[in-house]
Amino acid sequence: MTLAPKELSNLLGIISEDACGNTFESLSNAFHHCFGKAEHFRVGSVLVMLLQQPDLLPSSPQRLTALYLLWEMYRTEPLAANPFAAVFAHLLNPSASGEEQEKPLSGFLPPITHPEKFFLSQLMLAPPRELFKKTPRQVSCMDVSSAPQAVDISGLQLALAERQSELPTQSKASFPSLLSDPDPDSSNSGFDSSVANQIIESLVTGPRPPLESHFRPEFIRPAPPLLVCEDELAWLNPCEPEHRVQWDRSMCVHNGTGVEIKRIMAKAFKSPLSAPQQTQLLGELEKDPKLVYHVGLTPAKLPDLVENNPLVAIEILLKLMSSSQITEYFSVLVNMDMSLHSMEVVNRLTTAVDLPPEFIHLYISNCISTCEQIKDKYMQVSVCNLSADKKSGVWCWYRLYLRNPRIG
Amino acid sequence: TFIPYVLDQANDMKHDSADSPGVSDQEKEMATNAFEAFTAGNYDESLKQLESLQELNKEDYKIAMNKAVAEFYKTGQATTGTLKQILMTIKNQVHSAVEDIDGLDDVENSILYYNQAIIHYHMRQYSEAISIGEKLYQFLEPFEEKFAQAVCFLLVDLYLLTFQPEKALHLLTMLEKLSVQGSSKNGKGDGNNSTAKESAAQKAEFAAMIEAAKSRIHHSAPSLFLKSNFEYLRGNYRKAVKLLNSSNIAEHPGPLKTGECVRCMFWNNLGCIHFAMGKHNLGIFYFKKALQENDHTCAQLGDAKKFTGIPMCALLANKRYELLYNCGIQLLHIGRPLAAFECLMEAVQVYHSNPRLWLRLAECCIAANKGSSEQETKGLPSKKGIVQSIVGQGYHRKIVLASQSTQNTTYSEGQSAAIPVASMEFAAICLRNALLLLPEHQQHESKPDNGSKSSSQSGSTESGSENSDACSGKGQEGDKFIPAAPSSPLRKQEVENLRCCILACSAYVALALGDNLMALNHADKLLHQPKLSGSLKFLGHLYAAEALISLDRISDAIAHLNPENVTDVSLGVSPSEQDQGKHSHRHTSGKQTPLCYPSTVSSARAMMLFNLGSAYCLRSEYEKARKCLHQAASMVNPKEIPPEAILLGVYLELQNGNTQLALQIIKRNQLLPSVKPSSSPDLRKKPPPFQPGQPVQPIKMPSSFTQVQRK
Repeated sequence: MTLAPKELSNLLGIISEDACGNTFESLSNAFHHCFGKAEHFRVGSVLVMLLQQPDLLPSSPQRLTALYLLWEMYRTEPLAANPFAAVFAHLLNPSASGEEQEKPLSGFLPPITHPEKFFLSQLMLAPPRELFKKTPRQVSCMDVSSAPQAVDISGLQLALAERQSELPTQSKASFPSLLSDPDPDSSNSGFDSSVANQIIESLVTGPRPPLESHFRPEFIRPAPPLLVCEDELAWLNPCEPEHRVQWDRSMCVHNGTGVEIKRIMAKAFKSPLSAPQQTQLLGELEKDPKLVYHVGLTPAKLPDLVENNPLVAIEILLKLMSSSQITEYFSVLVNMDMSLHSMEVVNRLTTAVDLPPEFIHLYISNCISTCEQIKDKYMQVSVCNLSADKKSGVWCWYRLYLRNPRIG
Repeated sequence: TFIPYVLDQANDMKHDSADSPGVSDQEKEMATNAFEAFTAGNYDESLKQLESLQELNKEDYKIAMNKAVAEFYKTGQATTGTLKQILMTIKNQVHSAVEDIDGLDDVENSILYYNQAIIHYHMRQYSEAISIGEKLYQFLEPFEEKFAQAVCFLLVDLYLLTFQPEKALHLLTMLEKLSVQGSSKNGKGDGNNSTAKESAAQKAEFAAMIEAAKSRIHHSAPSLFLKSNFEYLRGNYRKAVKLLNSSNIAEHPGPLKTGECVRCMFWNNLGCIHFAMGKHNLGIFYFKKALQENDHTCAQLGDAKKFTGIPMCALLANKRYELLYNCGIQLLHIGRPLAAFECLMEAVQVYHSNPRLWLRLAECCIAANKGSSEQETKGLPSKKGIVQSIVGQGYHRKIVLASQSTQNTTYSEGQSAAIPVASMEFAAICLRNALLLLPEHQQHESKPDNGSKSSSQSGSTESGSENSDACSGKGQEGDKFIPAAPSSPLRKQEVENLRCCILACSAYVALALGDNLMALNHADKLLHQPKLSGSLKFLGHLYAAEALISLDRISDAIAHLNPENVTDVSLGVSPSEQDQGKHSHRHTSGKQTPLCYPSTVSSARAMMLFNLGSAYCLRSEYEKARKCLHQAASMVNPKEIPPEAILLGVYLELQNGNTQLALQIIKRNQLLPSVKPSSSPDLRKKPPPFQPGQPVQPIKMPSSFTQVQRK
């Protein structure tokens, strides 16, 4: 909202035709009585709009009042700092005056009379005090033909141009969005200030008054189209799921064998088994192919079993070959500390089944690096001997070598 | 219908043939009696046996569990909550007791775990169920075969429910091997895996699987629905409708028995088909019917949140959120964005990690703030007036021109953007969510599979882990899919399309909110997308230019507005895309591409020229602007000239001093050729306005253009 209706009626009172008999000084007093500094810009905007719409502010004395107030509001500041200085510059611009007859730009300021121009020029210079003792009506009737016409405003123009250059292009390109469109059929039956005031009120009051809107080239901004995609909606298929809570039939069917085997296995992780124990274990594993999954050998426990009972480890690993977890066991085997037992286990495995080549590759490279790291000459010899002495061992390395020529 | 599902655990039974020290013969007999009573459905008798058994044997937790299971069946499987509690208690006891003896307790306690997974499944706690299922899957070998299959089928269904079809498919091939082995050994175990195969066919890729399943199944409702789904995915909509109609849904036992409301599914699927056919009014009709059916079912079921009082299977019957999603998408396409917004806001509470759903919400906001949406859906520009109001009359008559940008810029004042109303501010939030939910460009080739690699945690190395986890064996390939529940997951190309669309909307929303820098950022990102559709590329240039204008970078903006930037306005991806061939048949088959403005290259170029004219105007290059305006006007139907272009004409005439002509343009709401002064009676008295930069070649006026003037 530019002005509240109350503020507007105060303003219209000050610039009314009737008030033009008061001196400029008293008009000024009345104005400052009604409006504080904070309202000045909004009031000024309304005054400029009235200057732009001559049908709403038809008389010369009223225009003089409006011009005076525009100047008076900011008189304590330098002229170029007056936000409405561009209005003064435009009206006084001598070059513009010549063309204006041809191009009456709508929404732009219509030309002013010579007395008005004279008065404005006086304001631009240091105005004599007695000027404000006159009334607008008096000034409008002055004979100014003898007065010097032009006042040099080039300084003001320069300052304004400088200030404008800081504005965004879009703002500079704006027109007021108010266009006069007098109906050619209607006769101008004389000015009626109450009708005019009503129109002014609808232009400057209320939310988003027309005065505040502006008109400039604007971009067409089509909204993005909706995303096109297939298969977005949720299709529902019945699937009659048959997932039911189940009865556990292993209730109270504790497996005696299972318990005994688990006991033996627990021992096997800690120390070598006796011959009968080993036979019993391997025998039971042979009898029940699923038993191997119940004996409690996890990949993490494999190294213990290998160190203590390599033969058992080999048998169990062979039975686990079809398990999905066999690679886990392999990876543990490959990464455990190098020892005679682990080599033996790997050796036996390679002869019994086809191991994945990457596993063998990794194992041999581990072997080699371990050999290099062993400082103890005796140990080194013995490790090397294992591979040299044992025929199968040699054969194993040899076979590996043939399979994977890259190992070297 | 509640025949307890019992496993033939013959293999396990073998182990107790030897004399076992812990379990007496009396106990064994009671256990057998209890089990037989349970199988016969005599739960009271079974419970009696179990109670006496508990007196004798205090150690075996399985007695307590079977007791809970028997109680559960006794209530008609309606005490899911209670059973869950008991199983949880048992599991905690077992863990403290068993773990230190033996690391392999999972095999011993498999039924306990399985039952827990079943309950999670029915409570829609799918990730919990999957994590248990995958744990069990690691120990598949020792399990008795039927149980192993049960575990696999549960996992398959869970993968399908969570839109991980590639994992489901992998498991199914495993299962096939398993059942082949099984049938060769003991001739059983082929029974129910065909149903799982059917449900695997959620994507067109599983066409082969369906064909295989087809040969085995008869005319049950599930199979007809699947066949219909298959035809729907292939774009054979009439056939799909026919197949759906031939399923006799009236004879279906109903949701209380099967846990599925087939009627609701039926209406929903009809809605999907009609949506795909572009028959949106029928689509909305069917979706509403499905929602009514679902409400009816839910009313029958009562409050499903308490997990008691209704059979466990019926806990899964409510399909409200899937239906709301479908309904919302349909409403959005029919041009009712506010109603769509309501539906999708409810759906997003469940599907909050679906990036496309967040985009849809933003699209609702955009459509709701666009003004007359009916015009837009018809492919016409919105006829926002160029006159805001007329003030005064007669001598004082004044025209107030409408500022398009104030119509375009929408702030919802005094409302927090976090409160979901269909505002542009909320759209911005939705779009941010959508963008964050999409994977980064380069990363998703190497992104690790999250969550499913649970098996190979201890002591595994690179060599060991690569095929240790059968479930995530195809994890690498699975990363190509982005979950988008309740829809099928998004493939890579769909993700890229989605990203482009989100960026375009983000730029648009930022412009509307006056956030020009952000708009430019989004538009730039959009223009750098590798697979950008022609129409979004066009919008990207347009949005970038507008943002640049507002940032006072006119020359940069003009570079974006070169009409040569528009080469096509298709919404699809560039034809070089490999996916195209595979599904191209679907594009052609009756699926309607929505009309969107602009629909042709020339109208898009015209729009660009209009904007270019505006940009020239800002640089005070009025003759160039005039040329652009008239060239553009000649390219489009005079009725489709957007208000911004008409206002540009007004602006140019005013700038030129032709107030009368400007007023005429406004009154006719049409562009008029810049008049020869003699033809205009209003300007008779005045000398012809001098136009300095008149183009050497007169701009061609199309016949329609001059006709309009004569009217």
